[in-house]
Amino acid sequence: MPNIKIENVSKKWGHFYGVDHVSLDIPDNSFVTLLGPSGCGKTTMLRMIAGLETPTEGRITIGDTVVFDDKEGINIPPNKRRVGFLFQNYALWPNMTVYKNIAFGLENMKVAKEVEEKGVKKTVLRKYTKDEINEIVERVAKVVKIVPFMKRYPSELSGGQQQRVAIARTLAPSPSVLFMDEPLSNLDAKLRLEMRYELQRLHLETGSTFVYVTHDQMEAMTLATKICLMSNGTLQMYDKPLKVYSYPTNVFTADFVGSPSINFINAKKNGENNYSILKNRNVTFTPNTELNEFIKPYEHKITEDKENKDELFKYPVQKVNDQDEEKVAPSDDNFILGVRPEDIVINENGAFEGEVYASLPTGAETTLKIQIYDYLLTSVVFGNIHYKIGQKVKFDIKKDSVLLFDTTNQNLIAKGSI
Amino acid sequence: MGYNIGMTLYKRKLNKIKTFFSSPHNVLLVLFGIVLTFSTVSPMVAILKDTISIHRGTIDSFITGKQTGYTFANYVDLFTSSLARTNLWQPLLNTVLLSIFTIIVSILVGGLFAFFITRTDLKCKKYLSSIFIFPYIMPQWTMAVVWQNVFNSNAVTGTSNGLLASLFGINVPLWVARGLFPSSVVLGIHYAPFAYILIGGIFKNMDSNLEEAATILGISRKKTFMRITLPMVRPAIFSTILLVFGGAVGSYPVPHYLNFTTLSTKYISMNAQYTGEASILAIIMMLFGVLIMILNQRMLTSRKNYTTVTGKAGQISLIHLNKGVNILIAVVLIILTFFTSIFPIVLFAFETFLPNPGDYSFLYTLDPQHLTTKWWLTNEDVTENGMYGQQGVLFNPIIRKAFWGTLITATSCAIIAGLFGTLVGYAVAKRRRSKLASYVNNVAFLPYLMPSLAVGAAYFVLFSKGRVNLFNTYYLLIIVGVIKYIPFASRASLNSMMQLSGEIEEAAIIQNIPWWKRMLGIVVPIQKTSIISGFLLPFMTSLRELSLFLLLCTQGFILSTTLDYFDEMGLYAFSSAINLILIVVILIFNTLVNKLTGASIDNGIGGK
Repeated sequence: MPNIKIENVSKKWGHFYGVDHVSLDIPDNSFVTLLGPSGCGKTTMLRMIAGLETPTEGRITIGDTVVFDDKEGINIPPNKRRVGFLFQNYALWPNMTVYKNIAFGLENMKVAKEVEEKGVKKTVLRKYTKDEINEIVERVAKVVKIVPFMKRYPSELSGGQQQRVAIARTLAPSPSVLFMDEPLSNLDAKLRLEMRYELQRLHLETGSTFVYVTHDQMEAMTLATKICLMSNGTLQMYDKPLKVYSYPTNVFTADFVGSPSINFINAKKNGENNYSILKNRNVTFTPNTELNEFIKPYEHKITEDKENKDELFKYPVQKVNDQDEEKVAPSDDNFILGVRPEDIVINENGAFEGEVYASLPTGAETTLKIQIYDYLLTSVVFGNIHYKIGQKVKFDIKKDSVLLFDTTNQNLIAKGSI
Repeated sequence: MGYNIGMTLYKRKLNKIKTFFSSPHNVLLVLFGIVLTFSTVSPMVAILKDTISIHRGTIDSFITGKQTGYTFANYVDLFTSSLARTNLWQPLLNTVLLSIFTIIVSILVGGLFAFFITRTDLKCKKYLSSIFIFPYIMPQWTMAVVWQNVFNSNAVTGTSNGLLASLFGINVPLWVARGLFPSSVVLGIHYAPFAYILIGGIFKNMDSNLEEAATILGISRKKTFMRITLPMVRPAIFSTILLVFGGAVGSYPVPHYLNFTTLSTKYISMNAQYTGEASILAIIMMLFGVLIMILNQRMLTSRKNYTTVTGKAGQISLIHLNKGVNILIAVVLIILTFFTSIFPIVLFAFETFLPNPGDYSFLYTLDPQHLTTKWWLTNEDVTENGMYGQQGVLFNPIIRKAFWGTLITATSCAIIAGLFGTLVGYAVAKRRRSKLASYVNNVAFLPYLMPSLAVGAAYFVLFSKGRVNLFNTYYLLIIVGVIKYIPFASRASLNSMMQLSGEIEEAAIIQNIPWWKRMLGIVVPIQKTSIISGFLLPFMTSLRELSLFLLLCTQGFILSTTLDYFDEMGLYAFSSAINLILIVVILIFNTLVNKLTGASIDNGIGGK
């Protein structure tokens, strides 16, 4: 089973960088999701690895084979890369039955088989026989549970069934690498959840390397062994899901991952470790040195001729009145604090006091918006507790949970307590 | 170091080229780009050169006193001599008038018809829709010949009496029998199906929410139609103008039969003695083609403003016609379309049984003695009975040869043009935003906008005088037919390929399915209806083509050029028989393809 190595790969159209010098190492047998907002270059990235798109520069290696290198002049076409690709719109061939859809690729494949000829064993390349094709089609159909539909045409199937057929078709040639481009985005919410389990199971059963594109951070968090977060063509962070959640390398990552979103609070430095937040409230930030060895600074070289310039992320600071937006100039005195909603804990003796602005109970948990001065903070409270709107509440911020970000480059500096 | 960088750059370039050509659609684009550029530009260059060449034994040779070499004498003579008015300005004016009136007639007739079929609850829609297409399927001159046979009279046109004159003694005035009026009516009706299909397509796909929004705002129906509906069909009207204009300029048979002097008829009559000057006329016709192309480009960019197809299935509310009006309109339309479709067939058939041209005595005596089968069946005594040494139609070797010639030409044109056009459409759709693709698309479409006669003339000059002499061979007819008809197939294929998501093919690429298998197994089966119509249209059109092939072969080579041969002999029954054979063959193939594949020219508009 191969690993995939991507080195300094870019794709540009004119001076527009779809993908901007991205390097990635996708280990063997992993489930990597490419995550990011729409237009961030994740699909382009995937298509370049698969060979459907030609990179402008860089080097891509699948297993031991260099499949693309602009300097060496190597570009192995997609059909020779032996990969599977699951398309967003399934791309089932409407003129063929389900069976034929799965079998069509197999009919064309050559496999190495050992034969005995005059007592001598040798390996020859030959096509699959009809029986072998039958066997394979049946096997993959069983995996995705579409055996009863083999004679139907794609138009006679529901969206979920079509999706399964597409998966079966992709699995049939047993690709060692499987690429998926937002495969669940066309399904309804319930089915999507179900298919997530199946994909996870599939990953275990096939033992293939999965590369999966999605803009849904929940999907990425739950499925992936590693998340690759992209924005504006650049790599933002590449790590295990929980690492991405707990130690986001920068403000963008912190904001993109997590639902409900992280709270950002502007903080002005007014002494060693002392900051003024909200309405001139002074707090002391104590970095947790033990935890901070995890933090690696996020580095990205600025590409000179990039037309779609990398800009600082406009992080949202929630306020009661959307109009009075806070503008904080990036400087060495200004910082950003990030607090996850679940780290704002309602406590009768809490240090902070606010009033309930909105309350959304779901049964298992309640999402609260707490108004403090004219700021809003989101908090998630577990359990079925009812809050009245306008009710006064006191809360604390959990120890060791506060993220401190720089404003000049928006990178994570430390994690600690206030 | 420098060597290394150079090497890297070289490898990078090489890799780019390799990658580019590893996609079949890029190979196709480059290939067609080169071939089509050559096939479109070289005849133009050839005919330009012809205008300044001296032709032995023609007017330029006479003026300059030389036998070979180059001169501008042709231009000087054509534009300034005392004959300039008859040879140039009058035909030019006539051509422009004919085109304009043809456009008006076709848009009025086709548009009105489209309105009735798509927006009202008219009776007999299905029948009317398919019968309305007939004039386009049938040879252009059919209606012209019918016109002659109905309106000619010995008193006015000096020919044998037509139906009206011999049955009712009505002699219509000359302007009705000949010239601009009948020519533009006949051509207009011939091209009205264009307007019907284009305008009807918009009427049909137009979301009636647009109109309903106006109705709810309390705007009157008339105003809604004028201010909302009509502007929506404007692009279809423009398209019709573009398509009909070129057709009218390049039409030879209609003005020829109806005695109207246009650039095309003038070209034919001047070609022998005034070869170089005739070529200038052909160039003027081509300039019309270029003008249309420029207009077309302009339209294409502004046409984007009108999105009528939203993808949502819009519900069209049909205008309710009150019962009497409904039946009245239906009856009137049925009668009118009878005269443009069934009547010509009956008339042609009838004429082949008349003992003498214009002898309609059977109609008032009903005596079978006044009919004859000799035109069909004679195979001995060919010098008797006014047969002029010709065997009857069924045994006539010239007609037989021309019949097979027509079939060979049409079949070959259809197969090659259909194939090439489909591939062009496929390749262009694959690279839809690239410059190369839009260039190939345009250069493939250009011959369509060029007047047929001028295209024929250009190829005549290119291939009959140079080193390669293909005059009077099927090769030449097929080459020219293919180039002229590729647009039919490329448009049909492009439109359908555009709707095919790239992923459909990529899903097969990933599985290492070779290109030809992807085409045959996936792309073609999905788009089979429109691809078939890409083969069908060239076939139908070349069966009945005259203007394009007229200059490229001798009489008797294909059916359409054989008509004149028998006309000149006075064997009018023979030309009627040939017309009948052509129409019947076309109708048989049309029905066959329609029944077998469901593809038809008025697909999706009429009644369905």
